Amino acid sequence: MECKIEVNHKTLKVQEGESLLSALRQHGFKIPTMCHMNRFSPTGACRLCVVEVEGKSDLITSCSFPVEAGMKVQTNSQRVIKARKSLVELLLSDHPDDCLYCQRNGHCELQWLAAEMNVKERKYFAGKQKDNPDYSSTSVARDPAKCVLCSRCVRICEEVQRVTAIDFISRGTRTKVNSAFHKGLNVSSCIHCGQCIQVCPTAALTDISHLEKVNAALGNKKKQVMFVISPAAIVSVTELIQSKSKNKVRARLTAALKRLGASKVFDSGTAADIHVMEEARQLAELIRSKDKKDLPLISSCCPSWIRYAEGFKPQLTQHIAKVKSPGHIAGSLIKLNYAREHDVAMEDIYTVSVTPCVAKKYEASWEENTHKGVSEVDAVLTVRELFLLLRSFGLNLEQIEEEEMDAPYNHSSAAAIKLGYSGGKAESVAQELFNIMGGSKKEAFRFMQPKSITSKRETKVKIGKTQVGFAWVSSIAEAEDYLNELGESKRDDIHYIEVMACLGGCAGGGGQPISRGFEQPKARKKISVEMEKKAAWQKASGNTMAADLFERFSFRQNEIWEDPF
Amino acid sequence: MSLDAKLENRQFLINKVLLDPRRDEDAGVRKSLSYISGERVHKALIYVGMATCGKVAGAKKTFLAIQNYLQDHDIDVTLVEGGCVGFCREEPLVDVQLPGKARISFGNVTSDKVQPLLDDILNNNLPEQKPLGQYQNPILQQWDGVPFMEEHVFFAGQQRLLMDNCGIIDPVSIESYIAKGGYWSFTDTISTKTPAQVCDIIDKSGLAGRGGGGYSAGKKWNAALSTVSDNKYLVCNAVESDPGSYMNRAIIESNPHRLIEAVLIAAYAIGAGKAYIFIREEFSLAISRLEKAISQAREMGIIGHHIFESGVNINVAVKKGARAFVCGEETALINSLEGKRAMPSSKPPYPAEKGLWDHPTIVNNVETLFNVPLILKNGSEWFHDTGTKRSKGTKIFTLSGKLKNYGTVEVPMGMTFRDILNDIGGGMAGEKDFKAIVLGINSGSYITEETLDIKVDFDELKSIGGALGSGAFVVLDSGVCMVDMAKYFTAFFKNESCGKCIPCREGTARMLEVMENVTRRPSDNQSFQTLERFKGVMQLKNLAGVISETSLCSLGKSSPYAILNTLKHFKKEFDAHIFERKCAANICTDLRIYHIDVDACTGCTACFKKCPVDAIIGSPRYPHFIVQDKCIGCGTCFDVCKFNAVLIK
Repeated sequence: MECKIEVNHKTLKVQEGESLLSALRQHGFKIPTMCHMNRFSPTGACRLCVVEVEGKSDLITSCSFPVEAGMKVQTNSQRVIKARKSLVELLLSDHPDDCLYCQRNGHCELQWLAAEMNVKERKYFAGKQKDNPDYSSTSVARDPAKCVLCSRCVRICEEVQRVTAIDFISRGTRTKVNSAFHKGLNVSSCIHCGQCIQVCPTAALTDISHLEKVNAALGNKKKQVMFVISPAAIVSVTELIQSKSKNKVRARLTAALKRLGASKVFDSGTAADIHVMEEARQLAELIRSKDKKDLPLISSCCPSWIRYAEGFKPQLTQHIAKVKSPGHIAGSLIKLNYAREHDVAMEDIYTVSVTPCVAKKYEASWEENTHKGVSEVDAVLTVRELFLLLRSFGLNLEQIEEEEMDAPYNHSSAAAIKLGYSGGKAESVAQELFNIMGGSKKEAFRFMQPKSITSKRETKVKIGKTQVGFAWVSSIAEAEDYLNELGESKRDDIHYIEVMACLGGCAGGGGQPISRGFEQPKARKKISVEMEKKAAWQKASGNTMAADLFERFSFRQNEIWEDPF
Repeated sequence: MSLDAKLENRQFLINKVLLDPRRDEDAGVRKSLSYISGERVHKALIYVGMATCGKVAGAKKTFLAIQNYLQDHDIDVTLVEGGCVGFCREEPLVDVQLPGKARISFGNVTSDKVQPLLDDILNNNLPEQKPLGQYQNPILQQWDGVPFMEEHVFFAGQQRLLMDNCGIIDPVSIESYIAKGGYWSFTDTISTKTPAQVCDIIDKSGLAGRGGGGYSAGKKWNAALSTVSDNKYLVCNAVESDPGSYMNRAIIESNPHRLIEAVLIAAYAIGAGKAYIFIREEFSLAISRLEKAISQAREMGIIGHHIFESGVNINVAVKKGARAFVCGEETALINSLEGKRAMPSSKPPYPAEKGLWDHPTIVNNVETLFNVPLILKNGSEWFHDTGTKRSKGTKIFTLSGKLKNYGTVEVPMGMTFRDILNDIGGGMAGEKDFKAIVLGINSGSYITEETLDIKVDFDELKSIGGALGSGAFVVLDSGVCMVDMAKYFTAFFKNESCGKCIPCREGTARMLEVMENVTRRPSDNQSFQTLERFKGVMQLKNLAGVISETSLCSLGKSSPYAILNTLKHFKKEFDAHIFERKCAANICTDLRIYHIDVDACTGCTACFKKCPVDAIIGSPRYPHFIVQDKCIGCGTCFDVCKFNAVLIK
């Protein structure tokens, strides 16, 4: 119900019952927050969103207070400003002052707040927090000294990912966000999705950087450094590029990487096409099988999801497709096939995978992703790290010539690009299944997709004589709910489930540039769709290079790919 | 008592007492009840105050000594492990009741005094030890020359509505509780009143929450009653962790059935099917007595399904709390009850609308609930007879600190603090002058000499910028340093903060650091340190204001009160610490200055050898000196000197 409230002596029309913060923000009032996350229930921990409401003796937090008709609010009274400033000063009092050495320097919400509040001097003197950083994980690094205890990581880990790898420990000033029993993240239930990094306002949570490794390899003359760029990474770079050069990101990125010393720059699209073909083949096998006991088939490209399933739902692992992820198909193609064809020793090739994913760093450490002690992917750079790398070499994508990617893995079909967002992969697999079972010439179709990026979805497609059910979910909470629901209702009409651990799929991945809110995945999906239209082929098997490789090799996960030559 | 007799007894209590509204009219029933309650006895009864306070004073030893005595002499006497009458100074307390004679009470009965006491008293003679008093009872023969307990100075000023049975009845005997009028209100309520009527009565009575906030209990109940939900909960908050208060523990230990009855009525009033008593894990005796009481009530059919065929279902469970001060905050308590970390959450939504597992939940303090059976028994008008215009009923305080009679007392609202201190409390103990009364850490209020004449009343305390608090009543004399006291309070809050919101987590730590700087000498005279120290002091008031204004829960909001009130009432003392670096009470050890009396020093070199910073100079057999610039004030020289040559300035 609409009602009127008075804010700073101006009358506003707002919805009764909604939170005061969202009402104020809708009308353009700037209210600072730290712990607030859209779509999450308010915790009221940071107190920065306090406002003065007539008739209340204390300041109230606008994030947790519902709008009441006729209330009179002051958002910027002296009392409010003083309180907010003091709160930021308190946060700063024991925060390490090493901004110059901080990874988030310039992108830090605490820095912004201090600037906004006009903090010019140290008011409270306190000992700096001393805490051992935790670098035990393969993908996520924690530095508790920089933590401001806003609980955003805790909430996303618990509510969106249902993993609760980190939570509050101890009381008072000793309160810390930590994994259970103060042990490292490596022995926690962490699934390496990196969503906590995305929501962290400071540098308390960062990725384990592979930049130095890559730099060392670039400087090593014996090594041939080969970059494998995933289409999703190209999408997120495109998003941040000025409109003029948006079309040419692939070429510009290739040129830039070549300038900093890459010997080859490949597109992981070919590998993604192979991945889709293999999954479609396994799905067709299952549908044709007699007992159908392993249906539905669950996608296998997301390492976080695999880690979750292995740790939390081992009964599901038999349903997961036995296919290597695209990044590692690409890695093994380069290290085995490309090396043999071009007569390079496997050890001399250094593969760097560029993706918007943090969990790929973890996946690269799996034993099954190595051949005779040589890993398929030597380093994984997130999109954030890619920008840091380019910046440190003084390269600007806006002002650089264009260069084609290197053959033979220089193309991707639309199907490969679709892997970048939730629902896209199911679409690609469906198209491929047409190829195998239906024999249809149908090139492309789009699933009906609701506007929200997170609502769970399913659809049915008639392929050949069978009605095949596809479903796609993103985030572990959704996946868990959906799979439980499916298990309880004993439905057998769903044949394929695409699971992505991050909200919105890789478009909302943990390795994406830090963004506030959940609108970014939607924007990236839009760019993806544009890119798909320009792709040379729509179907995965349309990619002739991929189809050829698919015929020749096996890309099943857990099967040691014996050197076929 | 044999099992059959016990069952018969219980059947009688259910049919003739609980379910019969004309119970009072039958003289036979009344007589039976007086025997069951222990008011009259067939054989001698010895009652030992065995609540935690008594046990600390050695009641366990006394109890064993009595047991041995009875065994050795082969005397058949009912020996009861009782509750606490509230007079902690006189613990261990032993009451003796002989058939036909009034109950007589002895204080300070340590185990060595047991034999002479029992030798005499069991032979119907007054022993040498002076009794504390005897309980007045017209139908029993009185002891000659023994004063009445009611006239004892400690009890005379009290109005014991809630504690009437504490220390009198056997706490874990449901029979004696029922015989004393217990559970009557409950059975009457569920058979004659609707939940809405009950809420109305409580609302009209003006009963205010005793946990510290003073919010109307009736309003809260009405809010929960009017919220539509398939499930509602009642939670009793027995997480009493305010330093200096232990009355909730004492009254639960002494009369657990009263709490259960109150919980049942409250649950009925709001339509809750399940009630929890959330109690501190450390209160082991209270927990075991509560659990015993609950199982007794369940056996009698007072708790459970379809209670006395009324269609009312209420279950009561005891939940042991995590060891945290913040658990006393209702939303944190609810989170803890749900198995989560005890962290408060924002209000609104209030628990009365959305509480435990998102269902309407009422959280009431033990003392608040203790009032409920009485109000329902006597009506809301009756409750208005006691107390002041705005604050009704009585308030229980735990008197402690430097006064003569310490213990748990119940006084009517409207009594002045001076009366409590001087009459009931017996005035100051020791030579030193009165300085202040601390009304608990929650309220952070100080009652000083100037405000000693104000009344126990929510509004009056508010008018002087204080709050009633939960019931602590700690008397301080002039030997206490108020800056040190404020430092202690701040440290308490710093350690007990849950860590959720910035002002409480960071602010209390910063306040404590300022307080520590104030009570410490600088180790060297670096200007930076002095600047830091003064800057902190300048910020203190501002910081305290921000913390109390913006903290999430009442714990955080009340954390700076101690400092603000110290600044208000004891500014001089504060200034002396800051500017002169002097602690008048000589409590702040770091501010002490040591020097050596040249005449007394023998030059033994003991201090010279032990000084950790080499601040003492001198050669053997000649007087030594302390270099003040080097001295860190650790006090080692003072401790090692055998000739009292080291003096404190």
